[in-house]
Amino acid sequence: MTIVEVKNISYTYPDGIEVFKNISFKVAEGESLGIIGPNGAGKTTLLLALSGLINNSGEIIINGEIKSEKNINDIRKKISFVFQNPDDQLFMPHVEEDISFGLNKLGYSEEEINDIVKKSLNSAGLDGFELRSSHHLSLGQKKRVCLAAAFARSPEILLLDEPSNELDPGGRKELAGLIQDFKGTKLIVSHDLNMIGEICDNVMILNNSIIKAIGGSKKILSDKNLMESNSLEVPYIYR
Amino acid sequence: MRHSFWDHFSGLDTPVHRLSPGVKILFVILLVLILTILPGDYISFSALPLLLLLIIILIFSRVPVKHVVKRTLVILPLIIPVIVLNSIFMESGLSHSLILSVRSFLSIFSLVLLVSVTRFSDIMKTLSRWHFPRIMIMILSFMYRYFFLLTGEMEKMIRAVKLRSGGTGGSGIFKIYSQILAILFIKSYERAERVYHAMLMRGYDGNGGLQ
Repeated sequence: MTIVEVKNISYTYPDGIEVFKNISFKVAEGESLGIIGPNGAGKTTLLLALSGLINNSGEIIINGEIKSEKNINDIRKKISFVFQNPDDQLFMPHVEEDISFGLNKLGYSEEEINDIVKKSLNSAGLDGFELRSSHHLSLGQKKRVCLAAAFARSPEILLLDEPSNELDPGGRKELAGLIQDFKGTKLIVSHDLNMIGEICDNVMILNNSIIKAIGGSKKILSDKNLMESNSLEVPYIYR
Repeated sequence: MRHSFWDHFSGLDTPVHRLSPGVKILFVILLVLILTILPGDYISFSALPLLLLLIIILIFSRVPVKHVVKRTLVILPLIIPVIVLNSIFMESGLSHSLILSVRSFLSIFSLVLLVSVTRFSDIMKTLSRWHFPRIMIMILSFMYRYFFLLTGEMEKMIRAVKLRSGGTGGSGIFKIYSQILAILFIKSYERAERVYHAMLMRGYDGNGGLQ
């Protein structure tokens, strides 16, 4: 079953630069799609469009509903977005407040919220971090708190923007494991092609405003000519 | 990055720390109200007992005196110009200025003491329970959360200037620092937009409430 359907969407920045033009693709329920491409290809902008944070032309259908201003809040309840910079995402002073932010409007009671916070922290390997200040945490811990906050909303779709960016190899491995454990639909934007290869079923290359290729991870990531023509390189796992 | 946390000692375990946050907040509100409302003549009588009371609380809280006094003295740049201007332009300006200084010093002292003996999250939770406007609580939370981040960014930019200018000084330094401030403003504006996006994704309605 298709959970995300993108039909001919286009977006131009206010300064006139066209980021993507008439792109269309589908994502099946439970699928992991890696979105790759050179810098400035519009990967992050695509995630912003999917979550209704920018106004694009064309149609985006999430779980059978066409995204519009009227239903955007309901659609956002199904999506969790993990932003590239955790300092943009962890806006509350303490970890507990950050993870519980907005959960009461999803119909949870205070007791349930406390339980969710504990379980989410546990699943991210951060037991006992409830009262820690966000600015005291290391980058790896911040990224895991972001994931815990995303998991806490029990989303159907998880959008991840450069999740392994700036992490050390250990932190990257831990984070990849946590992402892999999430059983819902995942759309991952990353330059970490090894991680994309490990986690994603399918890969999409975005470049020069269009989709250059979309298909199975191994097929796309191991195609040397295709990768190099899009300023990418074949990851180690497929060399 | 060097951080100097406002509530560095709020995690201590003393009778003062264990007191209900609500009691402590009410005490400070009451104290600030008394200091604001009391006529000047009464201030001179009550200042010493109030200061003694705060010092006793400080001793029981085991928060270092230096920590509280240092943070209280941030009021000086605001007070000194007022004292100077009052003394020059007002009749009996000096006594007025002294009373104003006492009011300000004791108010700030009690506020610094409050955040030193109460976790910031407990203060916010208590204010929220008292139906303090949600938008104000969010602004306070953001101030606490992003103050360190912005000072950190500023420190990094100043360090870069020092490294590339062969040290500080020179006639153009004020121009450079004003440019740094402008860049910090732009960066903060852009960050605010990204934070707003993150909030929208988690149910924020843009008016201080949640959807």
